[in-house]
Amino acid sequence: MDIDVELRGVAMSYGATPVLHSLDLEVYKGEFLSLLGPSGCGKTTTLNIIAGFLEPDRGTVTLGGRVVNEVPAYRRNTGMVFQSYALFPHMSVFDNVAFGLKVRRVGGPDIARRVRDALALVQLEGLEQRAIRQLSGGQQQRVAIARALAIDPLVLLMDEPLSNLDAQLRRQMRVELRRLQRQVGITTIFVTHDQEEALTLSDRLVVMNRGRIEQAGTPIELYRKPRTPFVAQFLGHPNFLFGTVAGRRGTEVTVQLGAQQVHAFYESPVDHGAPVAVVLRAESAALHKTAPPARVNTLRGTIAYAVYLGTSSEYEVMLADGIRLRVIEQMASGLPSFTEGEEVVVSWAPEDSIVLPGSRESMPDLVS
Amino acid sequence: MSARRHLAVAGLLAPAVVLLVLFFAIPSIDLFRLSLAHMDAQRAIHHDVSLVNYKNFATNPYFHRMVWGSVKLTVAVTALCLLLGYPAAYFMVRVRSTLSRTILYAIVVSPLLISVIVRSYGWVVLLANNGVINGTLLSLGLIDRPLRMLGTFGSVIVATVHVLLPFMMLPIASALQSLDSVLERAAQNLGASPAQTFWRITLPLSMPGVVAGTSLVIALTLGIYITPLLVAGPLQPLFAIGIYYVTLSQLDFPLGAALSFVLLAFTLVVIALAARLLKAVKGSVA
Repeated sequence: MDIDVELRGVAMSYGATPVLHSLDLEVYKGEFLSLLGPSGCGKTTTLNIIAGFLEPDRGTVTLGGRVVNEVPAYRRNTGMVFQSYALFPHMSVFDNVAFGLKVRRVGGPDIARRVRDALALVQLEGLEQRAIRQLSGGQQQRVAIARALAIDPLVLLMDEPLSNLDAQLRRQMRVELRRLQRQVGITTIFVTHDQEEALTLSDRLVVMNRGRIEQAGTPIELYRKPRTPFVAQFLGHPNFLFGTVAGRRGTEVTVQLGAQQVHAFYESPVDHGAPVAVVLRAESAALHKTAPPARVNTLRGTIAYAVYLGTSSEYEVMLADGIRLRVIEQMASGLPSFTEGEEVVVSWAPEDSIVLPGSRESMPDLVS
Repeated sequence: MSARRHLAVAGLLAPAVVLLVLFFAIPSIDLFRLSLAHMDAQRAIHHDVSLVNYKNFATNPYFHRMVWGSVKLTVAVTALCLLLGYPAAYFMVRVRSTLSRTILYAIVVSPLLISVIVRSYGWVVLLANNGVINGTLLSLGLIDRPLRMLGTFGSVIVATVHVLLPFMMLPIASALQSLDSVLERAAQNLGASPAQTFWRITLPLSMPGVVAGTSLVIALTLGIYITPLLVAGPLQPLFAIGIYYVTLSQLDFPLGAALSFVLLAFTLVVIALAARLLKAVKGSVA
């Protein structure tokens, strides 16, 4: 597959503070790639380095097969959609979208046609002569996308473009963005801290933490098989059950959790007796009144509290040895099955949990 | 609610309105009435209503020369303030270090912190025949005789630019400061070179500051008299010096009042024209 954007050993610091440690990244032609991570993880810095607004201290940036370290931002032909949209307030919608074409000295009739096409893509036909301040937030967002697409860039760069929209509009734009990207087929790098956005939009996503790439892969890979506690925590709602390896058979391990044993699978081998965390997602566990007959992991506990969410309920289960587990129950009926104080059995299939090496102390990134 | 709100607005506005009416509106009306009076050959003031002072202004070539001098000074000073002030303001706003920026602001504002007399005498010390500049040039052997600088129109321009530069720079700096730099990055991302970014984004969006600074400098240059008086003497053909001379030397208060109103009207017209011109420029670059 053709690589459109490639970073090799890119490092960058602001003064004495390192923000990127030797980053390697390749983005394939036509792919929608998300950079996902908390604020300060270096994802926006990475985007700005690709656009040419920041110069890395080390490493090479390649765009369309050409090393562009020495190429200024205005000759890189990237299309950026800024978080604040950065529309030119003194120009009409038409002039905003036409800007990149005018500075390239494209001819008048061509400009008119390409602006019309770009506005049609984002479904804003007829608003050419509007002033920017007369547009709603969603419309401004569309103008920003049309403006970036009008120059026919090598890669579309989006810096948290949906974060200024209200929740409903954000969901709507998410769907539309995906449709648009497929339709145009443009290579896209999308920066976000919102896991749901990243999961729904991306062909591939890259989770970043403290200036490093934690893991890259498809949404399903990262969700099902996180390689680090950080990635596990960033996608979904995981529980971390800390214990030691009590036995191994193939890739299946038996983990001693206090007085009980559970089974799970590992991605990277762990030694007998080594400290590990069993990662169990709140949405992968099920609750029962009595132990289920199938060969699954079971842990006994009581419901410490229950939160009703309409289509689902969220429970906190207090296990025998004081460990708390979060479990989400999907309820087609809209009726919760358990109440606070009730004794329950938590169960899950071994293949729905994975084992990561390390003790609680070795995982400083964990919030809970 | 609405009534209380009106009361609050009235309360907030009242002090300023009272002050303006007492010390600006009433004296102005009084001055206008005085401009309709006239002084006879025995220097007695007659409070009849006539346009004799305005006719005097319209027909006397001395006053025309004065207006022309002020127009020339204003054009030169405004143009120089813009050419010197815009790049300086741009640089001042873009400087990264806070300390450097504070020092730059202090330098820019410094002419306003010094008494006009001291500042103008500073120019006398520099520009006089036996002053610092001539002394240096003579001792270096670059010239044989002192250059005549003090008292020339050029010296008036230089001294006036020095005083008025902050009035041009501060509004421009403030406009540039409030310009979101992400707009310039967006322009470059779309392929605009630094020069194109400046002409199409930075300059048009800082135009409110340019208009404000230009209006201030025009109004202040048309009315300036102490600085040219000290640098070039009372014979410089300038509007405000003319008013000063008529009022304080000839003691013709009615004529002085009439000339003041002509200057006021003239200033308003020039500012309106300048604002329109700048708006046209903005339209053409955007």
